[in-house]
Amino acid sequence: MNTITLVSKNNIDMPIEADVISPDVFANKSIDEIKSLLAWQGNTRVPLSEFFDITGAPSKEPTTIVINGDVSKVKYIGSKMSSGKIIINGNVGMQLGHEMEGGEITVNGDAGNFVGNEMKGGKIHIKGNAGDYIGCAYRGDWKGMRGGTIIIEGNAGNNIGGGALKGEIIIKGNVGSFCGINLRGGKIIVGGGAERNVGAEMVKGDIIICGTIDKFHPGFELVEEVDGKELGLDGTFLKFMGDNAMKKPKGVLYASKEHNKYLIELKSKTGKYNYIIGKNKIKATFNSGSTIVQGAIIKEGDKFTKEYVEECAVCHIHPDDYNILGQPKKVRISRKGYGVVVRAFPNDNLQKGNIFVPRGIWANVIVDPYTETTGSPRYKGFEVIVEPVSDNEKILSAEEIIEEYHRVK
Amino acid sequence: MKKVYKNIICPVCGGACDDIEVEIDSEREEIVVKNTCKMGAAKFKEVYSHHRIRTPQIKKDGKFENASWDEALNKAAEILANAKRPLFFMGSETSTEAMRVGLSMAEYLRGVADSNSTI
Repeated sequence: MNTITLVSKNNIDMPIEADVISPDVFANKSIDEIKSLLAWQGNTRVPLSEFFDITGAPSKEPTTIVINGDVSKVKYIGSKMSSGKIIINGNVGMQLGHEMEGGEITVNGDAGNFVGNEMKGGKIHIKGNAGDYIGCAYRGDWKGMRGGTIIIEGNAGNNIGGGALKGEIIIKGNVGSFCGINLRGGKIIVGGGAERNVGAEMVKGDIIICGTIDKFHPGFELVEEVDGKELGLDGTFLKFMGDNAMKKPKGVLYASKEHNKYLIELKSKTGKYNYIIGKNKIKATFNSGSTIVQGAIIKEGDKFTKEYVEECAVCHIHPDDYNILGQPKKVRISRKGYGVVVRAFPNDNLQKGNIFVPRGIWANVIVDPYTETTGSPRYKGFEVIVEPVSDNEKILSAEEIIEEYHRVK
Repeated sequence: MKKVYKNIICPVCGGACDDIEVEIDSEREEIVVKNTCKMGAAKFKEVYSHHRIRTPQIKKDGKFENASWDEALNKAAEILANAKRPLFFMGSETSTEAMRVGLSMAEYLRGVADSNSTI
């Protein structure tokens, strides 16, 4: 087997789409032909030799491609490859092994989003961390990975294995939210913990979480306790079936008993997730969204008005939670070092442990700017601390919020 | 002069109410909207709202100056045609017809088309 070596010239400013970096494309080509293969950069096509020093001997057999240096701005490496090997010594960009059919990709570094999305076969091994949507369906598609194996030694992001039909994903570290969303088959094993809603809308397949699931998806039913040996793992696992939001679900979710004791205690004792974390203090689920009045103001009216502050600088809260906080006029909502003072408003349309803040500049102080490459942040479902503040605390105006948080100083 | 437009589809939410009536008085700059919710009505009234920029502006020496539509459209075309990776971020509260034009432009310029409904 022959080796072609690509050394990054570190001159990529705008990301390139290099689906030509694939053993199938390199096979039967002279080194000059490989150098002149075209990659998309924006709306123009540029030869590979512009970005890489390329050496090696041409071959008729399946090729091994070795890439040295940082290629985190190179997308679609190994796209649709069916055989051969790619070894990347450095970090790599999005869509690695996109729709891959066979062969092997090894990354001695971190990978971006969409690793092995909709892949059909072969093996991808990431020695570092990986981003969101690993082995997932592409945007607008329902079917994710259809076969093959993805191994990630580090942590991975959100929506792992979304819509996968077959294949195996092994993540040795922790994962983000919605691991195994809409899963239709295959297997996902997570060595660490998971953020929230594991297996949401899954109908088939197995998910195994060896660490703690921060927020358990409500659609699952506890079936039995299983010895980890049956799964080839240590410890005892709680076996759940779901997601019952779907028709006749056959999805199986195993969660480590040791790290998820709250799931059993929850049933037997209080029957409630304990979100009251101190006297006059709650850990609530934050939701934000448009209200009719807020929507009307931003279209026809003016954001720099009292009316807008009245409508948007408000924390809607369940009356029971409002009583726990001591019926304050104002509350502080905070998350990860960011806090904002707003008016408290008891509203029995909400569930206990949930708060609602209309979409706007006050809510946006709390909302995480991370968008999972969608263009829109996650406005709903994360945890915040809510506590009362004295009536003298000032509710900032829109201008003051910009001064305080957003102006580049 | 008053003009009445009937059976308009509301572009605001996904409810797609399709029986909206809009009465426009272009001299007095007044709009009467019927059969919408508060948010839908505000969207149509936005046409004459005080914060809408109604004259095209071009930045010259760091300052915005009023320009004619021809001048502004030429400038916009120039920027798009010379861009290496033009991004068309569009589609919020926009009619299907307008989005189709945007997509055609993105396709012609080999740009990236995206909207805030990516999710």
